[in-house]
Amino acid sequence: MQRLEFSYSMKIEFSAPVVRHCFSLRCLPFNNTWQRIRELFIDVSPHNVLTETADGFGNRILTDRITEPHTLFSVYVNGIAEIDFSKKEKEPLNGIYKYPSQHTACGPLLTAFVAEARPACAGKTPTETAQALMGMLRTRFSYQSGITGVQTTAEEALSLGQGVCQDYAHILIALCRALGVPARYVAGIQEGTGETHAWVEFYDGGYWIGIDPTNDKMVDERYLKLSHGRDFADCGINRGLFVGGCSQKQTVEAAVRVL
Amino acid sequence: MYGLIDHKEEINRLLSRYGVKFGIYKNNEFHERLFPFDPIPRILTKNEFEFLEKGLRQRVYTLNLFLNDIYGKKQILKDGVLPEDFVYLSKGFLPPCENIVPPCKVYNHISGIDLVQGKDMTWYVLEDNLRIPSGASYPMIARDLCRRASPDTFETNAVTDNRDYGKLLKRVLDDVNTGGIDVILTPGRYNSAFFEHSYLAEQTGAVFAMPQDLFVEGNVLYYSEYSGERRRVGTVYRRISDEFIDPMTFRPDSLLGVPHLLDAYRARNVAVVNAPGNGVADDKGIYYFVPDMIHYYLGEEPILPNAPTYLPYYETDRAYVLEHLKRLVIKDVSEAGGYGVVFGRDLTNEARGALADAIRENPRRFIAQEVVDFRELTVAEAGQMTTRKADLRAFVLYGNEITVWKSGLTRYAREAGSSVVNSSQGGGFKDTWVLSR
Amino acid sequence: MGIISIKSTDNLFWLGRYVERVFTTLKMFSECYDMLIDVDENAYVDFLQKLGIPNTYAYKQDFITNFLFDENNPNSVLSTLLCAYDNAVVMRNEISSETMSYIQLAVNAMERGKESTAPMLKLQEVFDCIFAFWGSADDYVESETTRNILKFGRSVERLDLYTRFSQPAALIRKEFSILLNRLYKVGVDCNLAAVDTLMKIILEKEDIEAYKSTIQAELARLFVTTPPEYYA
Repeated sequence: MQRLEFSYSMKIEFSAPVVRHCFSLRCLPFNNTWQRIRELFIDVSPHNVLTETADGFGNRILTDRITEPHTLFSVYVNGIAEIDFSKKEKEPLNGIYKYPSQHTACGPLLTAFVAEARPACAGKTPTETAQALMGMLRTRFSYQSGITGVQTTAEEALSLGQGVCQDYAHILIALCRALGVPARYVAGIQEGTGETHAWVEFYDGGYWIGIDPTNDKMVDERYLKLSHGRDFADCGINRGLFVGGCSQKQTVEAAVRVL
Repeated sequence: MYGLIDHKEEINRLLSRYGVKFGIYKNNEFHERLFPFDPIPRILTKNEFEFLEKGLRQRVYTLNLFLNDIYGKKQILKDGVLPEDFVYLSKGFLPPCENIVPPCKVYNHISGIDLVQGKDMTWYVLEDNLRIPSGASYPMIARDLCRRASPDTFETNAVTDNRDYGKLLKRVLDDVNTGGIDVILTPGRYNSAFFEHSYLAEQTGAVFAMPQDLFVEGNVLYYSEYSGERRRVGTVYRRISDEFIDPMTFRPDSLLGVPHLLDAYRARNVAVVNAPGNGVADDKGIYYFVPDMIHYYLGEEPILPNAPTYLPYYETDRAYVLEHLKRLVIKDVSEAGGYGVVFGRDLTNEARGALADAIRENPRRFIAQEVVDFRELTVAEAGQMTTRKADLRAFVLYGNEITVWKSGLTRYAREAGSSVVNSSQGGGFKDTWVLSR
Repeated sequence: MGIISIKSTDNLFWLGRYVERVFTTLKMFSECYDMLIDVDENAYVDFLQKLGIPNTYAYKQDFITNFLFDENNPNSVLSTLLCAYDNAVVMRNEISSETMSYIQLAVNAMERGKESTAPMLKLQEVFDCIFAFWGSADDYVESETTRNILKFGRSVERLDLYTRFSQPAALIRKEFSILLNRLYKVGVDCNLAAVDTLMKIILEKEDIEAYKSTIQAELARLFVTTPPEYYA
């Protein structure tokens, strides 16, 4: 068991006032058998009738609609979590994680990659397959920010050969699914201070197991999970819509500290 | 009835006076077109209607069970009744709707089931429309005018009144209402069925809303009034397609939607009519399995058969389809409105070859059907009697109970011999009479 | 009382205005047309000036045909009628299919007039439709608020056109008192400062004509219309 202190803070500065600002925030960590939230503090400013709800994937969402004009929107969440993988329970599989999604459809490059990986993965367990794929991905993809964007698909990222955690996750998801291993996208925070992180969970023997292709390792109890879905599109930490404003500047700082 | 034929033109003129139109986009421009009306009705005898009614209830009831299952336990997939590919790869399957239990457990409040009658008088289901089926307003308004044009006709024939559709619809909206007003939500003036949206608002007395009139706060949907007051909405009959209804969940660029509508719906604070996600049940691929669903969920024989359909996804069917391509009609499962439908016999050898390749390449994308030899109906064309192929869209309403509207939209093809009856392709419509004896 | 949104009050107000604009403009046009026959073939120049419409017409017949029927010119009578149609079509449930049908019929009559060799005779049908529209509105529009907003729009437009065409002061005062009367009934936001200025001019000044442009400006800001961000 690992005790973590976590925080997530986000600020958006608008160059001109915005009104009718609707948002859905997926920044509240899961609170389940193996990730227990012991303390939680939330501050969203400005807000109107802040409402906690859930989406179709089981993620927690904070929603609201701010009618007053404002030029600054800020979110701050912090708390204490206890992570204990031994408390994981078997979960039924939802078939959506077996099929390609918007960001993870296989084009020619991924299809070729899959064909190449198939013999190496023959007869392997899902865990061995995911690890083998992660190893192969490392040899042809490297970390570089500023090359890809939020709309980049797995196929596009692979053709660029460089990208960030989101792209690593999308490619690994596409490969796993094509080889018959159900996989899903996870948004969360890893140990340290910086941006939010993304990794992958694959399904093996009734359990969802985390794997972090960006850092080439299995997910341990030092990761805090915020949301999961078919791909990035289901896990946007802040999805918003407003009227007005011109340009906006967003700053994010996320941190996990092992206690 | 001849009184009706004599007054065909006048009735059409009156229809235009009431603005009975549908919109069409041609070369990216919006045009309004009149919907040509032929006064000779399709007549369903009491017995025939009762048979259809039974079959339609069975089908609509089953499709609702299927939708509850698919967005819930998915038992039908676990039991292997239909291959899960057809659900998970369907464009109409919306994972964000998982585990929502709609008010009264009803998904398909308004179903438009398209039927055709073969020359042997057998009725077949051609398509289920469970998303936003339109067309009920046309026969309703036409009936009103026909009764004025030829009262004798209605004195002598025992025709059930069909002008109660507004009342039936209102009852469904009230049945599923979670507490609040009923609202009809239109995407706006430039939607092809705008006439119907505004007409149904008038007929039901529901508040007619544009997207900007609605907002969600604290998981509750409200209508904002001019006075600054807000009214809680209990049912929203939305005529906006799924992908546009909530930019916070679906297409983020949608200006037609109401942000957080899906959250309010998930929280069971509002009924959304029809439920989002119904596209998974009226997919042309899923259609093939509806008879199996009836067996599976009800343990009954389907009362209304499908048109004979083949699924290239299955190898035996594929071989059959490829061999008999020339006499089959091939449908692309992702298209609607009469698009993506080709008759093998109309294709050149080359085009047929290309189609065969496309089927081999991506069998999941197509279904193939035997061409049903439709029974043709008489139409009055320039004073002469002639015949045209026609289908029947039956409207089935599902609230606390299932009601089949005692009428329907009969659409006929513009050209002799053609079986394309869609209004967007130039077809016309007829009234549908259900006799009370 | 019906439930009504901001957008709907806007549509109703403008429906009333546009219908009235068609009506009174056609009335004034008929007088002008009569002059054009054998009194003054340039009478239309003055007519356009009063309406504040640029004279883009080459000669008398060009004016007659196109001022009435040119759909591509936003100032034509047909265009104005189509604006009324656009506002009516989204209000079917409020004003009823029956009332709505008279706008449709007026559009049809105008379109037939365009093809006719005697358009002035066809225009009679347009007048008939507009009279029927108001009659139907009185009979079929259930909500009093809806009726009041429609008629408020009509009053504002009528007052504007009467001023432009220098109608007798007595007539303008009479129309203004109708407008004031409506204003109390309407129950929607009005610009009170504008009401005040209008009262000071129309009810107190001898020479209303001299204040024409002020009256027009105040009328334009009388009704508090939907804020633009509402449509965004």
